[in-house]
Amino acid sequence: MTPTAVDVLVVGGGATGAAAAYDLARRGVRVLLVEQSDLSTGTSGRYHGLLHSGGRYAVGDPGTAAECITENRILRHIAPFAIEDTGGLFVATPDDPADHPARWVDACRAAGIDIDALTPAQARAQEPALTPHITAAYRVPDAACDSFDLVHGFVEAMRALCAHSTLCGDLLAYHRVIRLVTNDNSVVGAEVENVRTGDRQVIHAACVLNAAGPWAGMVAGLSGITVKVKLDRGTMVAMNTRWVNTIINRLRPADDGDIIVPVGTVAVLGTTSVTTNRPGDHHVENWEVSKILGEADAVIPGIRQGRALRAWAGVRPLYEPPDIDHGDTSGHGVQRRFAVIDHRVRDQLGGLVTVVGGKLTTCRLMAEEAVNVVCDQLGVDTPCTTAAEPLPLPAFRQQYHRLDHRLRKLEHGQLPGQLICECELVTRPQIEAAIAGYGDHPVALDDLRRDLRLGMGPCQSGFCSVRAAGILHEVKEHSNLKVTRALKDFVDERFRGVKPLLWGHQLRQLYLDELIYRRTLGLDRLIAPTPEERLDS
Amino acid sequence: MTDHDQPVYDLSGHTPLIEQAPLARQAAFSADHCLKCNICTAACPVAAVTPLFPGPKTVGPQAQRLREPGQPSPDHAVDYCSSCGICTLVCPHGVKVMEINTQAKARIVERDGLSLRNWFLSRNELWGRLGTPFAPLLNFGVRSRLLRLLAEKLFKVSARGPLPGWAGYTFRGWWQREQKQHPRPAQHDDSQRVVFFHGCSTNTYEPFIGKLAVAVLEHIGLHVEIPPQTCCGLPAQSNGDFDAARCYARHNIEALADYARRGIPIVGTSASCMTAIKGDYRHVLGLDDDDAQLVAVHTYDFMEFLWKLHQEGRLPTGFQPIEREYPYHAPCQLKAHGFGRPVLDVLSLIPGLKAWEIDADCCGIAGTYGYKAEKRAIAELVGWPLAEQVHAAGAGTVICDTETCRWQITALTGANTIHPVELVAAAYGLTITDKAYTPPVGE
Amino acid sequence: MTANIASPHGNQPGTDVLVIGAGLSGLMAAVHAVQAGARVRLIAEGWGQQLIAPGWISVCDRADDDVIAEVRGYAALHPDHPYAKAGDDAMVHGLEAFQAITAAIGLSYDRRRRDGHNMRLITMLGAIQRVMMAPRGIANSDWTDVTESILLVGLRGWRDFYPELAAGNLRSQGIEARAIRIDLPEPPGPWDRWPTDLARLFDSSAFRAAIIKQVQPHIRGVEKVGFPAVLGLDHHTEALTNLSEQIERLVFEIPTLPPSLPGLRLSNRLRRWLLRRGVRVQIGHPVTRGLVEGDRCVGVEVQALGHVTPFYADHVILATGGLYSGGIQTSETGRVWEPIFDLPTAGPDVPGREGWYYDRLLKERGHPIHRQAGLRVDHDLRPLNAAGEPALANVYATGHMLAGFNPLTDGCAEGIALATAYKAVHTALELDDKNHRGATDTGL
Repeated sequence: MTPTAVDVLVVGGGATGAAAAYDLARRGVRVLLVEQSDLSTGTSGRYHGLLHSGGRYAVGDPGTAAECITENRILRHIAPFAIEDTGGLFVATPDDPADHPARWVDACRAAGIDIDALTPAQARAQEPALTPHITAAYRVPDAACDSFDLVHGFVEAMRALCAHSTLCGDLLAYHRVIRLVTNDNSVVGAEVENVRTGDRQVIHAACVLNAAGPWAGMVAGLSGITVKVKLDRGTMVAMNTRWVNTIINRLRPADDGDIIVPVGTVAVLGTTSVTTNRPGDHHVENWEVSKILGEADAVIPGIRQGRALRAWAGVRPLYEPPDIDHGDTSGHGVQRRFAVIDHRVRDQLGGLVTVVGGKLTTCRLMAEEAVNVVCDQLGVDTPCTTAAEPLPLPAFRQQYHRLDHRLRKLEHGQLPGQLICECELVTRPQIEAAIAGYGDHPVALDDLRRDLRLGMGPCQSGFCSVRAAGILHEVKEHSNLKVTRALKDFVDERFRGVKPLLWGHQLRQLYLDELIYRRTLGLDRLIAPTPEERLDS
Repeated sequence: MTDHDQPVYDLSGHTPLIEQAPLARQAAFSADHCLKCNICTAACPVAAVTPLFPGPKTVGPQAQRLREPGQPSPDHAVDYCSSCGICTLVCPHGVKVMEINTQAKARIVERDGLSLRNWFLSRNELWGRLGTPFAPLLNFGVRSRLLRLLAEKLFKVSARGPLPGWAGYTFRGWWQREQKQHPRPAQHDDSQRVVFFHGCSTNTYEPFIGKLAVAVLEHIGLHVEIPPQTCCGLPAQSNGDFDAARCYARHNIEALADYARRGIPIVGTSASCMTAIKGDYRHVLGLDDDDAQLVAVHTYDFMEFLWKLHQEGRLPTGFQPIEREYPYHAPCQLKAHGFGRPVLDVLSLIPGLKAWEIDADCCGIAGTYGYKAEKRAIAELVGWPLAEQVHAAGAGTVICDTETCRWQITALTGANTIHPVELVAAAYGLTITDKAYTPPVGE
Repeated sequence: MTANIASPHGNQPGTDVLVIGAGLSGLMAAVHAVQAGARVRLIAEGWGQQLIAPGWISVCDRADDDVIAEVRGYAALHPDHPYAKAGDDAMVHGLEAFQAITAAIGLSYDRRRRDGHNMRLITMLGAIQRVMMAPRGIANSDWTDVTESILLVGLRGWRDFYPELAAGNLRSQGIEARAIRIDLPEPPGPWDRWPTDLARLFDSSAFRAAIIKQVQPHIRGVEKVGFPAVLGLDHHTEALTNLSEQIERLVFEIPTLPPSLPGLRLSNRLRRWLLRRGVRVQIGHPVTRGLVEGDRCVGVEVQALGHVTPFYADHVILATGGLYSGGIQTSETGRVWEPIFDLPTAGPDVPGREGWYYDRLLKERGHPIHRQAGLRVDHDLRPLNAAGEPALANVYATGHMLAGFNPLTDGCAEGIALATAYKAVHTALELDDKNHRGATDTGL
């Protein structure tokens, strides 16, 4: 049952929206979270996996740096299941400005970030892959954070808090807000459309919290007001192996290709910064890949010759405050990387609050400040308590970012059943459980990928996709045509992320995958291309 | 990603001795190239015969991505890998599958320690030497079915594993006496010198192979030197005892590096020992320094060396005809050399001699693998295709370069087995004095 | 990389023919050379693409009627296509020689002799592939003249074959098909079964008997019975015949995910055949460069253990494969090259990697890179240098490394491999077709 009336409708199932929904639930507010796709598929899911210590912002943006280190400690406390404490290093190479480290050290101290100076030899003892030409190295409390686990953690905690109510605490995935319902200069709800079926419904809410990230401007625009969001596309490249076990930051003023994050089985290299005008602009250009690999190679010699597995882009929603901005209640000024806009104050439109900007590391704080404003509108005066108590361990997700976890389980017979995805060790019972978890909803193979990491290893689903399709056909009783189409969609989805990386061994891999799809399976003979697909070149 | 996290240590001390090899050159890193095509799995002779081993890809490049760096591998199935290396050979993408698996085995040993049996099997050098004075007694023990069954019960050393007999004297001892009795003229021209690496088996079990090798090398006109040396380390390495293997390896590198520096070739009759010196010291044990590389560059398998001499026009080809036909087994360790089949090339120079290669990846013994009670049945099944072909050909004698393979082939087929040097010596008309030795072609 | 040698090596002891590569064209080149009486050495870094391919022989998949006629017509209009370079006769003789040698080693490959049309073969997803020739088990699936129903047999608990999905897709195309699942008589082990594991089980007649018993009750109204392509490894032909006889229906195989059993059977048998004829078969180490004297290649160097080892030969057949097998290499910067002789490729012409791929993997007619990244050759299959002249007088290129066709979409990869292997050896050894002894030299 989908509720038709709640206290607060949170728009956007990313880290901020999920944290806000959880925060509201803790304060006893009836909340519904609506997401146009699945959880953590926007900016939150398309990030590098770095839980910032704040060091990266210490010089240029001390306010954000201080927030990062505070929230870093809080998230470690409340969501340890999503975090691998890799620690971080900042290293400088001879190409980097020589005067920067000293300024950076002072700024970190000022922001309250604990740093330890290391000798280059100590740094290389910790990470032998580092270049021998290190001029400075510092240890910082960075960590790797799995945003899927974190967001699922918030949502499951929200659900648990609202378990006794049918009217709140739910997630409405694959629903897009198409209209904000207004009444007397006040937003009183939203009309949402099921993106799969086209069904529409109106959900009444005393307040709508707009946490739609890059889409925040569009959501606010549904009520005729303007929220300027600067869309900044950043590309990341995942390497096939970890290369390092500590997060490596380049010790220089923030630039392209500064970060190397070991996440689970891979190392994520990032990132670039390109202005865009589309919130869903996820395309990756070859020059970005070359730039990222080149910068990483300066820190880890040889990584450029390693196998790049997948590239993706996320869109950072940077907030551009208007010249006269009455609504910035956070009061931290323009330096702030996130903003909470009370539209009641700024635009004389009640029932709508927008939160925009910020970082995954500060998602809980963003939620707290946004929810404070929402509660103020609702007249609720319960304080925020999300920083105090750890989240319950999410039941479904499996801490995939712990590297040898699955291998150990497989070895000890704790992963029974057929091994379907051999790269990421996903078994048939896990797939069946995941499919069952969707109840009557349709299941795409990409859903299973997000849930289980199916097809995310080096072969990029060349082997497991047809197996998963076969299982879906058996278990879900989708028609053969629907399953074959799902397989083709999955192949397309997987190819998008690997196309910018096709040279050397990854090109060979995709040759093998294409051979399987075209020759062994004859998939292209079963699914005729759509007219649009025929035109694509 | 594993080994590069740990510096390589000298066994005696604790100072990092060797500069890390660049990451991309390390065997573990080659897992990056795996396309999951499972060609290695299809070719693995062990996975073919036992459900206990899921295949080289599963425990190798697949598991490698999921192993916690710097920690022991949690994957025990890798213990069933025999390290025959067929996986590495058949991979079209350059993944060092066997090397990855051998390193993973070492991780398990690092964590769990070495079993007494495996410690024993890793030190055949020691047993060979210590046992020599007691040869008659020990040979009785080796041949006694009862005692072997007892050993299987107590030590899990298979009663069916083909153990050699002690010669009762060592090759090194013979060489010292030989030089006293028949001093060789001094040789000042390094280009006329050759170093002989005899290995443990020749030293204590089959000294006649060493005698024949020396006779052939001297017949060619080379001055043979046999510097002090120890076990190649391969048995310890395949049992995951990298500490011991590195100790042996460093010893040999030290003993041989000076010769290598002077460009003097190092030649050995055991193809598996030569694999260790040429490849494993660097690629598996991680001893990737200048000396190790220099020694590897100048080390040759005996038959490879003869073929090289022939290519340089230095091999006397006045061979007497041998009107025989023999099947030849190229051991898996020999295939790892990548030098073709010099045995067949050299033997083709002998008039009348026909040798053909058996189509078999591995005889099953894989060093010490086939001596382990729990793996003996696997080793026999792995060797079955080889045995079938020997039987089908009705061959009474099989040529093979490596000692444990020869013993295994005899155990599997009942056929006599010979080292190719025996045929070369016979074709040169060379004889040796050795009561235990019967030449393959009778007088 | 090539090395120009100062001192002459022409008189080095070597072989007549050196084949580099153990794919379909390399193995067949070695077979042709042996049959012509040459001394042959084959060096390869790993097995070739037959170990991952479905196993059938695509000659011209798009041909609607006579395949050979279609190829002849196409080659006449496209002088740069490998078929045109090899010539019509090479294609015809190459196919026949292949069929003869495979029959001789106990692995029959069938084609529609009656009309020379492509067969219509069934894939594991229930699609139809039109193919000229296939191993008998796969060829048995030819659906062209089937009037009754097809039964697909799945093996319960095995992850690589989903007969219900395949049958559904066949029915959607108007082909009467249904699926059953049977139990494996062997208890499951701790690990998933590989295709090779199942194939070895099917080698055993006792195992097959247990399978047959489960299939028999389902054969009413069924014309053919399909299994995944795991029907035996060493005793495949026996397994196939035995199943057909006992089930009393034509039994066929459907290729599954790699490793490819049809490819493995072929590789194993051909290797044994070559070894018995004195061919030095060496798989596992890359050839790093050619040794060149003037306009001839006198041999190659192999990165062997410890040191580089030279191998000398009078003729070199370059069969190192294309983008998949590393015969053609690519880099992040967009460089495309042939690594042994540093030969230029036909394309791509634009620097960088732009334009190599379209946005969808399954784009019709495939991606430009596959067509461009290959060698240009003359009509003797000698690779051309940048000036358009034969780079070396005695080096011939075959198979996937040739430019001008897309092995994944054009439906001619195996046909080209067979035609060019035949052509290269016959040109190198100056044989006319009468010299070809075909499969007279039989047995293992």
